[in-house]
Amino acid sequence: MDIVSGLFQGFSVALRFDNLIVVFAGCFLGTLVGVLPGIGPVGAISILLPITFQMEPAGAIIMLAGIYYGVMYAGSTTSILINVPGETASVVTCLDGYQMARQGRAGPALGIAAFGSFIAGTIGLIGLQLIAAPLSRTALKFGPPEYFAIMTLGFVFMTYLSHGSRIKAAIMVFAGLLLSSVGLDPITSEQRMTLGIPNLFEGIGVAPLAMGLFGVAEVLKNFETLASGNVVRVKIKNLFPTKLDWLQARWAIIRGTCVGFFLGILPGGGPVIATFVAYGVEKWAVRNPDTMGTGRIEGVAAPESANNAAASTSFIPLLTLGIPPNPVLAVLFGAFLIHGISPGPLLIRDHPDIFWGVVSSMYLGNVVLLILNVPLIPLWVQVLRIPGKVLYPLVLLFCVLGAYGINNNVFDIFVMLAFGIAGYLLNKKGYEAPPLILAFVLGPLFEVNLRRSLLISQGSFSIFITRPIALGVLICCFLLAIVPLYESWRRGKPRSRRLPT
Amino acid sequence: MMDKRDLAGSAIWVILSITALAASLRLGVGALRNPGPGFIPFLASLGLALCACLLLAFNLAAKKQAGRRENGAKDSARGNPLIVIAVLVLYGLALGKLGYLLTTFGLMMALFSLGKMKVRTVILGSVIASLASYFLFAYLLGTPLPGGILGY
Repeated sequence: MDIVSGLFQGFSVALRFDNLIVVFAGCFLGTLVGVLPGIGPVGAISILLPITFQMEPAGAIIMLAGIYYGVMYAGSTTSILINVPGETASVVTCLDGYQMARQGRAGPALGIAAFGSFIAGTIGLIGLQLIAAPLSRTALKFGPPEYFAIMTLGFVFMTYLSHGSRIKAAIMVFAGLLLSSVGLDPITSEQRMTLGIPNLFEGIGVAPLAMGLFGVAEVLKNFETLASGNVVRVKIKNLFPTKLDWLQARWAIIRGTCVGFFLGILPGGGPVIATFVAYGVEKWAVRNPDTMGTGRIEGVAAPESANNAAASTSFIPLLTLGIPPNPVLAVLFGAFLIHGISPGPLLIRDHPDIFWGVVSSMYLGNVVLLILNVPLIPLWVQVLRIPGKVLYPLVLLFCVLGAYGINNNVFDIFVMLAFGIAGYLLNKKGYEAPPLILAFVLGPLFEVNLRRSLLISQGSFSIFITRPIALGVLICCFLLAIVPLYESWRRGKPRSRRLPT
Repeated sequence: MMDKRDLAGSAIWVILSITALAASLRLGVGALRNPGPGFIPFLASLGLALCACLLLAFNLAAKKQAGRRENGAKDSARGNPLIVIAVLVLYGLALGKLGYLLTTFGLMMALFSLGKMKVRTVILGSVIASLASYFLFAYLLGTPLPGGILGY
């Protein structure tokens, strides 16, 4: 099926009335989550996952995808208005966005963030539809060693690009792998690490785990400061950027889009990393780099374009290789499996309606988000006035209902709570949850492909060296693992005197 | 002031990894030409143990660093997460017996009360949240919520 006929089929799915409703619902919920600081896209998708159980697979994935890129659009709102990022991919936007707001230019900042997001998201989508089909055909030639190598790259990348300590990120990856081995052995079907608890025979569910680590942990953290929340009061005018704004921001949008486009595809990459890199590139590219952070429109346009381009292209490895490149798509991967669909090279052939339906819905979603984020921005500012003491108990109720609704079993509430407590404590000690969830979701695939590779090669690791793609990817992993050690050796400072970062 | 080093945390990881290592050996690691069910848990726990030991070593070698307590949380609110956890445990235990509406009403009463709102607002908010969520999940989404002694 070529791209044009695929898109025709996709739009015939996406333009169905029920799917139009779910596109709007996904974008609306994504915007809501993006505007409210605290609950990020992973938490939101896992909390809302049970709502999609009654839906058709295409509609369910369309809605969850809408939440994801909706969050990317709207995360900038609080960054610009109150210097509090709506989610991690909007942290960098605070630097110049908030300064613009303080100078009375909140409108153009919000406007360029929305238009930049629209342009970058659309370019990312064009890339997705152009690359997906050929990559799927290539991926059909991949065997277990190639898959093993790509997943290893994902783990190494996730550790390498972590915000805090790399050792702690590696600990989270290994912990995620260990947790993923709870349940039945994927090859021999023997029970592992179940502690004799029947509810664990099928393993730990991705939804209670994600809801606990991201939703409950965040709510527990916010309950510490429940009574001290301030009500936001801001006025916004002139949302449409001027001609001068466009002239200043155009290259930043293009550069941000390019950065996001490529970093979105990489396993372990994604929108968060793309924003930091895009801001760095912008600082390098502008004439007076010292003025970055003082309210330059490029500092808003570049990261916001980058995170939306990355959000679109991060679907490429998921839909073509069946490998989620970041934690949000790891949860979405879980949603695919719950709905009985395996994302991967055969998705376009076996479920073209879902593949093209999701891609086409993202075009519609981009338009919906532009409407939601430009003329309706004053409405979202009102949402910011909901006090935490009302909001967080309701989020917790949704988490509880979501966890219960997966299997209609109270045990899942306790699983979610256990991971909520763990996430809360880990967060306090500087551990990041995303590497854990990515390793947890990729764990079974990683295991099957490693064990199959060894079975094929009769226990010889040469299988990873004799196959060029696997070898190339593993060399990248090795280099990424070596670079931090080399850097610390070159600095010549004994790291043992400081706490590791 | 408190010590910023995380000796206890690193030690817990070491203990956890050794426990997992022992469990994976019991499962059977197998041979390279035929890896057993404990193969991946063994590799994962070995990696975890190495990283945990490294972290512990860094923490032990680092000079004692004094760090301030996190700002933002009022002392009166510091215990809130513990209360929330306790309430959720009770909720999980009571849900099957008392039914969804009654337990959820209790849960929301407890959670809203932590926000120091007026009693009337807390009661009204809890009633609305319980009924609205029951309507959404039980009627619109068809989730079979536990009935308990009251039947709903």
